[in-house]
Amino acid sequence: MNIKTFVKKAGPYVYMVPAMAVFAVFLFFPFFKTIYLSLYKTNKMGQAKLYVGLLNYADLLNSPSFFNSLLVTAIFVVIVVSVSMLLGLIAAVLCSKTFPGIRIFSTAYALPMAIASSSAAMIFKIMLHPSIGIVNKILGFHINWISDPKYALACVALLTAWLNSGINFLYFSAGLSNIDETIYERASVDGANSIQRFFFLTLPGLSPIMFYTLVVNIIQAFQSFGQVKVLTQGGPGESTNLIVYSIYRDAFFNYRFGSAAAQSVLLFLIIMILTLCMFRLEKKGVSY
Amino acid sequence: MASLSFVNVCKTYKNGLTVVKDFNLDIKDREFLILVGPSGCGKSMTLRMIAGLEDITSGELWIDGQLMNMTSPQSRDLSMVFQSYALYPHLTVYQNMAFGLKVHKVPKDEIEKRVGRAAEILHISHLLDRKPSALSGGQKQRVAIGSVIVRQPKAYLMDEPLSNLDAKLRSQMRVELAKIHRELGATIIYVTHDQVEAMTLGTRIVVMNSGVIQQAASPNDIYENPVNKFVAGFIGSPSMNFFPVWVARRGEKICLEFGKNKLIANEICSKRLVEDGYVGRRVYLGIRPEDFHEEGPEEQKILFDVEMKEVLGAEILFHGRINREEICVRLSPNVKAEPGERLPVYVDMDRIKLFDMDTEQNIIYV
Repeated sequence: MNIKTFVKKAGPYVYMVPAMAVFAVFLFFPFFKTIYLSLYKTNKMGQAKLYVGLLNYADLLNSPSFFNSLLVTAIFVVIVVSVSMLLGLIAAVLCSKTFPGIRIFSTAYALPMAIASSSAAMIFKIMLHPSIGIVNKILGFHINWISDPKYALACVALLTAWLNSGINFLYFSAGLSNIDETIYERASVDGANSIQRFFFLTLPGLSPIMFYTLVVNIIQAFQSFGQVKVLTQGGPGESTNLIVYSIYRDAFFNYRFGSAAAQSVLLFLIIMILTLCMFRLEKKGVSY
Repeated sequence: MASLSFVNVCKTYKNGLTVVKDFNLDIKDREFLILVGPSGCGKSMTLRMIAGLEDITSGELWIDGQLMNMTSPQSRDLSMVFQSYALYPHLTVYQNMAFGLKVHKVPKDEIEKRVGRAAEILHISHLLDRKPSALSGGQKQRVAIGSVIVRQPKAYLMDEPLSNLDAKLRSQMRVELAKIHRELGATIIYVTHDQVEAMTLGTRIVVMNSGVIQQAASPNDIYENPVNKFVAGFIGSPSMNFFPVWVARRGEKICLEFGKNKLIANEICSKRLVEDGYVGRRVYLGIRPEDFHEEGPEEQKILFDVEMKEVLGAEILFHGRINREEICVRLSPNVKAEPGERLPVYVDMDRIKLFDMDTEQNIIYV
């Protein structure tokens, strides 16, 4: 092989080196290190000390606390994904019409995505305060929203849904602008009312973007952390102990890096399997 | 089926631009009305106002004796073919055609029957399971027409429905549309800029320009008896030739003179020109390309310089100039003349049109 053909063949790979280097440092190395750590007992510095094989996984699968985390996370994800997508969709449909001041509304609906989750959580903490919070003042209740296990998870989930609704609004707005306006005109001349137009045209027209949004939202919801950390710290009891928060607690409070790594690997597997299932479903459910 | 009535309908945009001005027209039940005119003349806008897709700025639109200005499109019971097809991309051809029936809650077996029949008429039975993305332009347009004819609304609105079909399919579809009109006894309002469609399909043609109705009459009337120079020039392909000519009295006769050419007007023209005081003034002489002949009396002869010829098989179109005016002449293929030659042709003086220089109105309009 002469130099020319070598350069020709190696060229494309050379171009990929910078990107791959970044991925390697920030993604592949932590990923494989996590798998490695999940097979060990570690010291307080997080260094692998004792090889235990799958013992960390076995411990997790026997731990009611882990299953509680899974259940809490599942409920959390369902609330967050459904509410945030619904909010985003409603806002996007409202803003798809042109009327004076539309830009102000659009900006307002998209704003949550610009707010850091922890600062939003701080604001919610004050709003939900049992004695001085605006929520109780307006509703006339005396509920301790964050400290009551009945309400804590819903509060964190609704906060997260609101935060995620901003980006969903953007996705859906983009999706709506891709739908040809004349098909609505034809449908209205054909006799379809606005509800029929929404269900027969808008929803199917949005299905590709809706699928994408669903996948992104589920992954995002699984990884929520900041709001839990600020608002409830996993409590009261373990009622808001989402997997990611549980990983954080295991690693940095209990110094059980091995168990935390094993939880991370399981979380990765759960998200991967869910995503694969959704891609399978996409072929059936998404129009076009 | 329905009759429609426009009373002083105007459409003005917010920026003050008026696209339809004082539109007055009665469309009878079962009429096949054609709206023709150049791009931007307001014909599509008129159609959209009928459909309810555009607000009427002023005036009244009546359908079957009911004022429709404030009625929403879905309550007007009309059906429309859009120029851009407007097919639902996520639905199959069958579902596209059935959509209008489905929202009107027509029973399933009835939907199947009607879609099947329409698909047969339009030769798209083999495409019913396809999505619009897998169709060619012509097929999409046929589906769009199919979606409309499966319904039996008060009136069908069609916005250049044949514009994307190839020549053969277009002529086939013209025949089919004429058949559909006859069979369904439907009121059809049809926008086009295709002369052949306008002349062959319409029971009445409305020629529009700059948002104003120029003439509304039967195809034959529009062709033979255009109200003004615009209509005369717009209808007919190739379009009518116009020459500014002097009206002069030569002895007993009234002559139309331009350059070295001198044509003697017939009795009717002469009488009208004299009565209306056109002698000694200039008017526009309009001659259709087919009103030139290879032979004829000497006083109807004019000479023109051939610049180009188009051999169309059954006829030849000669393009050239008389003085500085462009001229197009349609002659039989026997005529042998090449670009650069000077060709004598004879004008059928019974078929000429004369237009006022200022108002451009037809002087011999009856």
